[in-house]
Amino acid sequence: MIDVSLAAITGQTLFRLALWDDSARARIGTGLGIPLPEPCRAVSAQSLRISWLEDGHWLIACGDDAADAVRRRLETLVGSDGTLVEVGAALAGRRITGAGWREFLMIGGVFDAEDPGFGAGSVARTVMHHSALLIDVIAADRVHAYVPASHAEDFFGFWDAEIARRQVAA
Amino acid sequence: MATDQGKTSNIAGLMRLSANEARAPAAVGLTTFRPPYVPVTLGVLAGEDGGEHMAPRRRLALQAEHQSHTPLWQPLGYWHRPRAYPRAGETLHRAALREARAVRTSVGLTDVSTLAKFDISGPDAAAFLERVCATTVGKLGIGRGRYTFMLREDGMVADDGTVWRLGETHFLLTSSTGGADRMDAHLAYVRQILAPQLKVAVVNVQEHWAALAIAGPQAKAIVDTLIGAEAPRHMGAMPVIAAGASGWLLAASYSGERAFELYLPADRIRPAWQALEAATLAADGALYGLEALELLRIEKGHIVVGAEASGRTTPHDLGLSKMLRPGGFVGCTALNRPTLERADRQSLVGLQAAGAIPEGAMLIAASATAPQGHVTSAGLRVMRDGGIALALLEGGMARVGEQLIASSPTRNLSVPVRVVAPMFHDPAGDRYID
Repeated sequence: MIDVSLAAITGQTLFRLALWDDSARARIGTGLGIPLPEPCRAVSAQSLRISWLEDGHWLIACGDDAADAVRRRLETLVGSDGTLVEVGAALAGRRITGAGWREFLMIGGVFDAEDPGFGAGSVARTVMHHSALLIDVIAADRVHAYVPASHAEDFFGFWDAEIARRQVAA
Repeated sequence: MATDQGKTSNIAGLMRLSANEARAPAAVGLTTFRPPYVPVTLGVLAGEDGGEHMAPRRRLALQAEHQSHTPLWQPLGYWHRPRAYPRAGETLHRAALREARAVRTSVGLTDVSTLAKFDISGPDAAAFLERVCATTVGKLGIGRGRYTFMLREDGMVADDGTVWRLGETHFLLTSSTGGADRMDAHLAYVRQILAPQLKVAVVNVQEHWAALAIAGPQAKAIVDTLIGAEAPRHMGAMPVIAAGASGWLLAASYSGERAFELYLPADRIRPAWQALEAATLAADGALYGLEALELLRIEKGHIVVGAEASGRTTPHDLGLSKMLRPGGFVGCTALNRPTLERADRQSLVGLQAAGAIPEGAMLIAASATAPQGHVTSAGLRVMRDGGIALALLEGGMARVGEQLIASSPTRNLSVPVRVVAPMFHDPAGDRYID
């Protein structure tokens, strides 16, 4: 038995913010009311979830109903120092809830999810079951996980089967 | 240290050293640790599951739409794409010819979503692309595109595709499906290592944009109806709203016919596919798969990465020299090596025969003589009889008109072939013009 439950993340628009001028970070942070997160970190601000992806790149999640407003606001803040590209159709997400998420993410993965330092506000990009995986720790008992949409059926199917198998075993 | 990165041998070594020097292990000191810092078991690397999960399938956004036509699926890396859509009792070969003929005579619709796609923007986007691509990019007008190719640092052709100027500082670069991950890494290498001073952002949008290709004499009329506007001329690009989704329409052709690629978000492309499929079938057209695509592109003389662009061929070998810029791109310096300018290098030619030419066959002048090249891609003519092929042959185009033998001992086949130019369909490109 493993204490997790999975649910599809729906109704969400994803943007990739890419800056070619690092000086824009401060302006965007001021405009959002919270600094863009440092490497391997994520922050929540005004119904946005902002996750660091790589140097100069962040993933920004917002509700579908707010997407147009968020786009306009961010484009204004970014100005000519970067770009905002919608990437939501490229990723499929699952919300993992329950105290067993660390143990669950250790199945078939190479990332040490049981590291106590990997807590709320942490993000990791790793590989699991042959697929790229983004792990965003929202809270102590809640994680968002994203895989390329093309992998989703097999990947999440494997997760569902794994949970079912462990429930039967218990 | 290799296989365990010192995690086991380091400790054993320290203990030996400690004993030899009669010092406590902690006093001997530590070597520099390298990742993975946490031990990783072989079981974790292998994965918990086996069987089909050893190679998880990447599914197209339109998987269900394709499956409703019971196609033959073809693995392409982790992807599976329709190879052909055979009708009842139809062989793969007959289905592919029927589908290819529909493209030549009416219209065909295919799913090209797996192509690599990169959104490239910033004030230095053109300069960045001219580092990556061996062709001119900076002179492209807004709303225009062109064929392009990229070299490795040793001057060999690494990949090819198209580049489109969507705005003054905004481009879309496409490249091959099989090379998508490699191109992603290459673009990161150029941006971060070779040209970090450039103000440019590269975003991989391979999976965000699904893509449909519609090709044939009826394609433009169908596309005009779908988008409610005049589709662009060949190698033009325009933003569109198609079946309720916003995206891009690119007038690109891989088949040699007037053709378009429609890029829409993968989660919103289904209505556009359904509309185009209905219009295509109503026009006596057909869905077409990879097998028909192969026949069409061979007839048009388009190279493909892995066959003609084998990793050992330069732009000169592939007849692409006229498109090269003078310099400034990855691989340009290596092209000046004298050995790459030898006239007897294997270079691209076409082959013709009365019947099928065996793919992969050696090209020999006579029985029991040394091979002078090999057949890289082969197929049948789409609208007439006879076999055609693309090949890499010593001396290349200087040997047009020669008779050779395509010999495949493993299949016990020897087919007489004639060396011709590697373009069998509409060399002037008249069919691209409305």
